Amino acid sequence: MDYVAFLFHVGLVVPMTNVLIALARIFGGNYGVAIIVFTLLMRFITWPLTSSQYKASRAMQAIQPQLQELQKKYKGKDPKKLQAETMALYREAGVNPLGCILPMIVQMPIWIALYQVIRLSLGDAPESLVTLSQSLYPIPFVHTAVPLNNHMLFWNLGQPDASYVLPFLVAASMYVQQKLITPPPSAAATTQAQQQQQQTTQMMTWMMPLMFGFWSLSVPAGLALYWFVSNLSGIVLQYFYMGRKMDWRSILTLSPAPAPAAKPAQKQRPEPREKATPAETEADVTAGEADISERPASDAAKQEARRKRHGRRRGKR
Amino acid sequence: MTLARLPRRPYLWAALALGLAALLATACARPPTPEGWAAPRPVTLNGGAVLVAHKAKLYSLPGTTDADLSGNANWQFPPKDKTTFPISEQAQQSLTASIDALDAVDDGTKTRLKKLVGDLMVSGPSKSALDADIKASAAPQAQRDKLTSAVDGAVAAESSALNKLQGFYGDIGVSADNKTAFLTSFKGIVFALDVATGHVRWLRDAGAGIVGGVAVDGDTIYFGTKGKRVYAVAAATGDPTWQFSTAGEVWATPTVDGDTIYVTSLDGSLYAIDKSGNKKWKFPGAGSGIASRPVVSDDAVYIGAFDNKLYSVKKSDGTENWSLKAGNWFWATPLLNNGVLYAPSLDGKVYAVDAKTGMSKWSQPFDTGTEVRSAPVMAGGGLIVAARSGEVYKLDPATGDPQQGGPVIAGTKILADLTTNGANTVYVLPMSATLFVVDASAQLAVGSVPLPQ
Repeated sequence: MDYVAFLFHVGLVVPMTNVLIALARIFGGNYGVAIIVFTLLMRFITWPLTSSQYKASRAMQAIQPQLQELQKKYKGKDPKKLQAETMALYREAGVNPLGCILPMIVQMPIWIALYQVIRLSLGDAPESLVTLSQSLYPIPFVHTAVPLNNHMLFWNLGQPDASYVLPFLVAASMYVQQKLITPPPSAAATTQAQQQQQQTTQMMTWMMPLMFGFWSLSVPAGLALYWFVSNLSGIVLQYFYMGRKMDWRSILTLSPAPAPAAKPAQKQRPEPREKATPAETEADVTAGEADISERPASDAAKQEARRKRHGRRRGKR
Repeated sequence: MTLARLPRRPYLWAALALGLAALLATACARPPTPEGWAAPRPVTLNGGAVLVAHKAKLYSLPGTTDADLSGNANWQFPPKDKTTFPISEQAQQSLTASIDALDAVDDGTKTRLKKLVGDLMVSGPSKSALDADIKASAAPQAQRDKLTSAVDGAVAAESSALNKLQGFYGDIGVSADNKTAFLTSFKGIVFALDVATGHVRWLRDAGAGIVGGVAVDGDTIYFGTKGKRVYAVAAATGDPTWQFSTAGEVWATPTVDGDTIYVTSLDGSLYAIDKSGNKKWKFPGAGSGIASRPVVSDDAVYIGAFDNKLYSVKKSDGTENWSLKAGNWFWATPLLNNGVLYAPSLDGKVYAVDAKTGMSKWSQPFDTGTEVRSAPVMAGGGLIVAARSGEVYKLDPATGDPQQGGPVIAGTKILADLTTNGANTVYVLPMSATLFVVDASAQLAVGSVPLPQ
């Protein structure tokens, strides 16, 4: 265990400490700006994972009608067959269920390391500065950057935010992000399992922001700042990736009304998404249609109108 | 995160469990709290004692050597029982003056009120007795209210101050007559304590944290704060005489030499200030913070800095004489002895250089293997050095070779400066609640004195 902790320290905490201190020095000694830039860097580095997460999200939405059909077909009859068919559907659609949560899992060590880094470099105790001296690379630019300015606006980044502003921002931004990527519940959820899944989904939309907001009360403000900027950049990335398919109004809806069931007409399975870009594009369009089909009729109509407008603009270009 | 569409909820719960575990682990590892590394301070009062600060407590241990030092403290500050700890002498004097000024109160009543003030403790029922007598006195209502309010204020302020000490880092200053000890707390409160009893003579809130200690110079004391200020304060009353602003936090005890106060700052400068609080010169040469206490010779000031350099600066104008580069920061206060400067560094090495030229006196620095933050001392004819790892060395001052046997393991990490009684006894205070008393006369012999709990 000590060996793992040592590897974690040398392999992640120390490099991150030096990168953050170097960034702080580049940006006028402000550690808060360094955390913001570091967060954006992390977003950039984990973009392949994030992008696969978005793709998985879309693909998952695209195959919802087929999934619902399978569930209707085998409901209460042959659970093993249902499972096998479902997995086959995932394979064909190129959906990796783990793809959705992988970025989150990858980020966990970074959160923990960042917590350690902030403790190490912004600790109030003079003892932590002695420890910090042993964690700096022998590069003058980094080694002589101490003391660090641990204040940004009215926050002491090494201490929990007693003003509750950052915990609120973390919770609010995470809620918005969750809302934007969580599809509304479907009226096709007839089985108990489906209904439970939807309840879990809705619960997560609330629980995650609340949990992170609560944690932000006790962790150093620097880590809360990381979460906030990470959420904010996630929302922006989603906007650029999903574009006009994003349903901003759903943010204001506390408990969205169930959407009508999927159109039975959509029977063909989507193209496999592994290789060619055109096929992927095709799948994206299908995904968009499936997504619309799940929304309430009025919403779907509006989305359709928007899509047409969007198409006209594309045509003009 | 489209957790919503996960077909297999075990994935979801696994991710959640991982997240919870990670965040719980981080939540359990709370940020390190300041513990303090104030050096033990021997005093000669009442047959000799050693003032030992450990975390947020100060103990007066009777005796001076391993043989006579005992774990039974003369007193400890703050006391275990605050209901028997009187309010400060200064607060008593102020309240007594207010009683003297009461109108329409006979001398007998005033004497009784003064006695109650003398018995006023920072906690407990003593305040109620005084309040009742003030209320029952014949003084005008306004004066009674004012006096009651003054009593409330004094008790509340001193009780609050005793509750927020959070570690002592700086050198404990002692007056020339050994009767008063000056103590700075990390939370920014300066105490003047009666060395005989541990009772508070006066206390002042500096308004910002204090890492350095107090320099005593006659009837004035000097200290710096994390609020980027240096204060000159009357030793008898705690009243500020002047304050001087620096560009960075002040973490080291100032050094007084003749008519000049030398102060280092985390802004990377060494300031020379006259005794009226005016800047004489400033050495801005360090490329990083300075947290070591200046050491002064006839013509130079020596400082170690976080830019890995040890500097010699001209006393006359603050220009640089020479500098020496190490592999890590210089934090420990260097020791000047017979024209040689001994300077430990956080790179784990102890450097010995000619104070005039900066040329190395040893063939190579002595390597302890772990960082050295503690200031060394000279005792028993050797240079005594303590590394953070808890090892204490006795080195030949001429060659740097370790003398007489191997290092002594103190058990836990050592960050506090070493102090000596001026003879062969060295006091070593590790982070554990034990004072180590080292007899350096021959081979290092160590005795330990557990601090009272």
